[in-house]
Parts: sequence; structure tokens; C-alpha cells
Amino acid sequence: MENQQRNISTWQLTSILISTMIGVGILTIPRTSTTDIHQMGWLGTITGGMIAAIAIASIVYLGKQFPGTTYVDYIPKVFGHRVGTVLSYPIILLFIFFQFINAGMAARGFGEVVVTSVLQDTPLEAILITLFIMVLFLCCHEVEVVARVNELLIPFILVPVFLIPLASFMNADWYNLLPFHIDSWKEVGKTSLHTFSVFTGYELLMFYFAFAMPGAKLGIAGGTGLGYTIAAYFLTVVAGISVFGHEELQRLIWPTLELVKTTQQSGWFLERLESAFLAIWVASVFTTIGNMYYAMIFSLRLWFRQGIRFQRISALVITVPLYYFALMPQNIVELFSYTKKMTKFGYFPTIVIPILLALIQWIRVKLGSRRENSKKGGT
Amino acid sequence: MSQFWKAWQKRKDTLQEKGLKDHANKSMESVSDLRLTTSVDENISLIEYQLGKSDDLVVRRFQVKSGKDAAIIFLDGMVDRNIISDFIIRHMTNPNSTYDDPATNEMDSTDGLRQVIRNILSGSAVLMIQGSSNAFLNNTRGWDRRSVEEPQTESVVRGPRDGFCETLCVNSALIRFRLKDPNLRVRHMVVGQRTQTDIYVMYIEGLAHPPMVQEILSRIERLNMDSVLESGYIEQMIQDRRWSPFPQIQNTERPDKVVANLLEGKVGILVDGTPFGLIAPAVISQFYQSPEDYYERFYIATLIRFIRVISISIALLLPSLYIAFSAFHPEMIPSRLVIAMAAGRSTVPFPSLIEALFMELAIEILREASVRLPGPIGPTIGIVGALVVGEAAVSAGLVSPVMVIIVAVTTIGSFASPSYSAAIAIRMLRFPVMLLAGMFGLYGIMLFLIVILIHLSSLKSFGVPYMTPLSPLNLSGMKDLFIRAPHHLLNKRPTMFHVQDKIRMREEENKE
Repeated sequence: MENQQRNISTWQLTSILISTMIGVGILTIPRTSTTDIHQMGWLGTITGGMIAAIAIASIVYLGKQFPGTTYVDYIPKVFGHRVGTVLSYPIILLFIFFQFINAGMAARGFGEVVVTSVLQDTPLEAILITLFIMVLFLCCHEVEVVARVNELLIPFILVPVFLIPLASFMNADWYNLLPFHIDSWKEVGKTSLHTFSVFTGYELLMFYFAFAMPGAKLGIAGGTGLGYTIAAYFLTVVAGISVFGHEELQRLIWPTLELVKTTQQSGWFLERLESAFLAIWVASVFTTIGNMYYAMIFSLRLWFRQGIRFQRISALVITVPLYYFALMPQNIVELFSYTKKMTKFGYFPTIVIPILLALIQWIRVKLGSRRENSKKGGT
Repeated sequence: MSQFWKAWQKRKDTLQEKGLKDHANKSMESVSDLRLTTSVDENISLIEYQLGKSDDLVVRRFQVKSGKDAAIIFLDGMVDRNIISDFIIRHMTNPNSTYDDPATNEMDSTDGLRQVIRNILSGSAVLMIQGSSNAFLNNTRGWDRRSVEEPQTESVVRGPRDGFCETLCVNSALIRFRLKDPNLRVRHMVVGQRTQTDIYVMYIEGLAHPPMVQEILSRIERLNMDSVLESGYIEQMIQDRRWSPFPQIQNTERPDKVVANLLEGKVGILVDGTPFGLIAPAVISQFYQSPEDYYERFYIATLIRFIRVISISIALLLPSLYIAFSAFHPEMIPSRLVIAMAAGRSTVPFPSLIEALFMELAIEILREASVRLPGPIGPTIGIVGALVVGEAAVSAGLVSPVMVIIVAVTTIGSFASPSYSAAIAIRMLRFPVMLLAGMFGLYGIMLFLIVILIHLSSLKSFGVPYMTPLSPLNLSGMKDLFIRAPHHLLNKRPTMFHVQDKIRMREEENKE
């Protein structure tokens, strides 16, 4: 919708991108990236990031083509008026559904970590409910508030994410990273498709770019955001491999949490850091879930052309199925198999559709300019 | 074209001013707006009727030198009697005098009853002469007022010692005295149907963002309340979000603070009858910034700001961190300390949440009581309460010694904030964090902080987001947020209040 306020700055977009991408995935990435290509797992984060880079580039292109409009409004325009309106319904639904399950899985993953490692006596339901209450509170506000919250929380996300790998290098055994050798490039491709799942969240830019203030540099926001995220994942995986070795990593559920545990600093004020890390990490998980859920609710609001009241009520109503969905996996093994399925399902809304839309729009623009040129030639 | 534009602007301004003046008169609606007659006796009975024959209404009849009957009407105690006797009565009856009007320095005349009543109520002496329907309104206000004293709530080590007092004109003079800028504008308004309180809205034209000034003026104008006894009434009625625990308008007793804020493009509001002026818009930095920061050298000013930020965080979080650590995460505390803490807590029968709530409640009672206590015995009771009760509670096994230290540090920390009303918000929010920490440990604390952060991000004070310059990020404002950059680097005004003249000082002339 054009009449929305457009006041999100480039830096706010960058922080939205970073804080959405860095979420639950960072706890498992040292394991998932080393399953197939072993000591070369760090390569997976870069290649996975490259896939995301293509998709982000096409989202940036779309954002520049349709300034001030979300995907809800520009998908019909890309496909043309009649066909587009019909085609846009399943695509928008797909998007909203993907955000729904992504938010649900992230919440469950987080709850699982907290319950098993810090608050052993607290039921999982209590963690999920409090988390959803926070998200609901966020959904009662306008988009600019979401941008500001992301901007304020970004230090809480970036500092631990970079500090922990660097601190754990003290226990690193650098031989674990050797040899620099790749068995098969097929495995690399497989790994990068796996690790790609930790980058999901960037597709929300199709939504948040619409609120960028005129003159905001979308490309720079996308590039820097992705750069920081790749760097964070890369460092985490390198730290994981160098401290534990790729074989031991396969036996750890949350290798990054184990990394925190290994960096005990006796003589400091605090003796063990994992509780503090998890507490600070709440910010990161909250922004991930909050941004996803907010984008989903706001898309619904735009789709049905309603106001803030609709947004608040639907946020409240949809939390109930989200809560049940988050509780669906019976245990942690099932949770991981759900996540795997979700990753495969996610290729469609996160890679295929943005690239497809950008391609069609590009062809459209080319054809349009040729038609214009021929018109000019005629006169 | 620009000529036309200017003329248009001027016309708009005069119309607006007229509208504001009309409004000031509108709130006297209970008085019927009659014209005065030419007979003094009739006029006196009209006024006496409107004021219900109050016994403090003084009517002094005399004859002017031409032999006409005249009368002065004023309220007892609100006027300076010397002015009336020397410059009105003696002057008007003196046969040598060649003038027909009184010799007071501020005089106006009207024939409207409503205006006469209004002026009598605000301390004017009204002079009426037989045969004329015009009454002279002499400003003879002069009641006993407190002199300018050092502010009680915002004392500084270095800086001016004068603070606002209860009289509006003295307060505005304190500002004028520091700011001799011809562009300083003062808009007078009257709020309160019954109290008829005078309000000055001050801003610097060419600095303050005009739509913001307009917004503040129109919000005050729209107020429809019967009394304004303190600036807090105005503050709570015109702030953006009335349900928020955070003050969205700053209050201060210090004229130098008001002037500094006017120079940043903000708007000052002074209310008659209170030493507390208001500054709008307010942002998060009001919690820990003091005018003293600019008077001292910037190293120490920056350091003190950091100390204030730390002490505010302590005031908010320390008790809940204690609860979280001792109840949920004892593994985080160094092992020797945890043994000492466990030894101290071994006799305490309550969980740490109850222990902390109990002690915090005790200290709040002590604090509130010490405000009410008569001056000389205040410190004594403080010592008895804090030391004796604290010591006895530990030896009785009710609380652990660590808890006493934490409560003491928390309380002192909450008073390190230079703004008392901002610190109230922090003191209040301490209790919900403690409850959440008792339920979920560090996770609960983080939950609460995020909720507060969302709320703070959604707050706006007259169009300025509350968390500026942190978010939206404003690099020019960051120079004066946590660090106080040296003055020669603060050569531009912060842009977050939409100032129009951005240059504070020209750099070339200030080179070393």
C-alpha cells in the first residue's frame, strides 16, 4: 500500500536482516555444516550464503522496481493484472504459511534449548507462552517500532555472536581444520543447501523493503546484512571445528552452546557463561520470531486492506495455532526432522519465487522499454 | 513571491495569536460579559455581585482633583498597597498634577466587566471614575513571594545556584536574563476554568520546529480542566501516551537547563504557582544528563555520565539479578562467593524472591517516611531505619547480609539520576522485574527488558521518538549521548529535534 509511512533507514533494514537471519540456526550450524564435508564445513556457510546472496539480489531488484510496496501488492503487478491477481493468492499464502512454520519451529527450538540446558524444572509451555506474549506485544505496534526494536537489539545479537567464537579460539586445536581438501563437490552442494536454512529470514525483506524511507540504499542494506551474517556463521563453524573436531561435533546437539561452556573464565566475575549467553540470546531469537510473525500478520492486514485493530486481533487469534504447531514435535529428534522438511519446503518461497519474480519483472522491463523505443522511433 | 509568502505567514500568525487570546477569555464564561456603565456605584455593585460580596474585596472611594467620584477595587493581600496609595490615590488627588490617569507602570483600560473581574482576581487594582465607562486596570500585583533560592531537587557542584520560584514573571525573567535573544518568544495562555492559571510557552523562533511548537500550543489550548495547581497537571494531560510509566516531558527547577534546552530547539513551559518548569520534547537521555555535564571538562563529564548509566541499571536490575543468580543460576557465581552467600542464607527461611521483595519494600517505606519527617529528626530516623533495622534483620536471620548490601546499593543507585521523576519510573519497574526473575531467572529479566524496549521504541514525545538518537540512529546526536564531546566538537546542534539553524558555532573562529 502506498500510503504506508516509509521511514525505515538503511541501518534499520540492515539490522532487521541480520537479526532475522541469526536465530536458532546458529546453535546447530557447526554440526549441520560438517555432517557431509567434515573438516571443510566452513565452506558450506559461504556457499550457502552465496545462494542467499542471489535471492537477496533479486529481492533488492524487486524492491527498487516497486518502491513502497510489499510483495502482497507487487506480485499481481509482476504477473500482469488479471493473471497476477489469481496467481498471487497461492504465492502469498505460501509465504504466510512459511513464516508461520518458521516462527513456530524457531520458538520450539529455542524453548527446547532453554528447558534442557538452563531452566530444567520449567515446562516448555511456559517458555513458549512467555515468548509468544512478547511477540504479541510487538505485533500491537506499527512497523517503525519493529525497525527500532531491531536497531536497539542488534548489539545484543552481534556482540555475543562474534565474541564467543573469538573467545573459544583459546581452546582451539588448529590441526582439526586440516586438510584443505574436498572429497566431492556434490557433497559441498548438498551441504550448502542444508546450511542455507540458517539464512532463511532474508525473504522478509520482500516485506520490510516497502517501508524503507525514500533514498534508503536497499542494496547496501542487503549486502552488509548478509556479509555480517556469513561472517558470524563462518567464525562459529571454524570455532566449532577447531575446538571439537568434526567427528565430535556430530555428537553434540547444540555445539555452539558447548563452545560457550568450554570458554570458562575462572578469575572473572562470572564463572560460567552459558546462562548469560542464553539470556542474551533471547534477544536474537525474539527478533527472529517477532520479525517473521509481524511480517506475516502485517501481510494479512495488507491483503485484507484492514487497519491496526485487525492486526492486533489477528495476531492474538493466530498465536493459538502457532502455539499448538510449536508443540507438535514430540521430542527433539522429531523437531530436527521437522526442521529438515521445513528446509526443503522453504526452497520454494525463499529462493525460487524471488528469483522467478525478479526474472519476470526484468523481462517485462526489457520488453516495455523496447516497446517504448519502437514508439519513439515511430514518431 | 516571497514577500507575499511572508505577508501570508504574518497574517496567519496574528490570526493564531488572536485565537489564543480569545481562548484565554473564553474560560471566564461564568461571568456575564456586560459593558460597564458610567456610574461608579452601579459598577461597584455589579462587581460585588459577580464576586459574591467576598469580604476580602476592598473598595476605596475618593474624589479626583476635578471633583469627580472615583473608586479603587482590589483584593486584599494580592496588591502592593504602596503603589496604590502613592501612585494612584495620592497622584490622582494631587491638585498640582496635570494628568487624568494613574501613574502606575503597567496600565490598561477596558469597559468589559469580564476583563475587570479577571484582572481583580489576578491582583490588579481597578480604578473607575464617575462619568467614564472605561475602567483603568493597574498592575499592582504584589503578594509575598518566596525569593529565588537554590533548587532542592537538582543541585549541582558547579553551576548557577538560582532555581525557579512560584512566581511566573520571576521565572520568565530568570530565563530572559540568561537568553537575551530577540527571537525568544513567550506565548501566554490561561488554563483552568476555576484556577485561571497563567502559563508561558517559550521557544526560540528560528530554532524550534514550527509544527512542534504549534502542536504543543494547540494541545495546551485544547485542555479543558478546572484546575492547574502544578505543572504536573499540564505534563500529564499533554503527553503523548498517558498510560506509559515513562515521563515524556522533562521537568526541571533550573533556569539554565531550560535555556540550554531552548537552544537545542525544544520548548519550555512555565506554569504560575510552581517552581517546576516543563521541557518538551523529552528523550531517553533525560534520565542521566545534568546541566553540570557541560560546565565541567569533558573527560569527567563523560565519566560521570557512564557512572549514572551504570547506577540506573543497578537500580533497575541488581535485586532481580541477585534473585536470578541465587535461585536459578548459582553455577555462574564464583564458587567461593557462592559458599559465602549460602552460609549467609542458611538461616533465612524465605526464598530469595520473598527476601528481596521484603527488603525493597522496607527501604521504600523508609524513603517515603524520611520525606515526610520533620527536618531535624529526618537523618536520625534514617540511621535508625537503615542501620539498626538492617543489622537487626541480618542477626535475626530474616535476610542475608548480601541482600542488605544489594538493597543499599540499589537505593543509592536510584538517586544518582539527576532527574527525580525519571528515576521514579526506574524504581517502580524494579518490582515487576524482580517477580519475573523469581519465575524465570535470567530469561525472565530478558523478557522484561525486551518488553520495555518495545514500549520505549513505540513512545514518541511530540513527534520525536523517545529512543533518539539511539534509534532511529542519529550520529550527530551520538556526540552528546553517553559521551559528552568537547564543546568545539559540538559545533552543530543535534538534528533530531528538527532544528532549523543547525550551526552552533563557526569553527574557523574557535581554532586553537
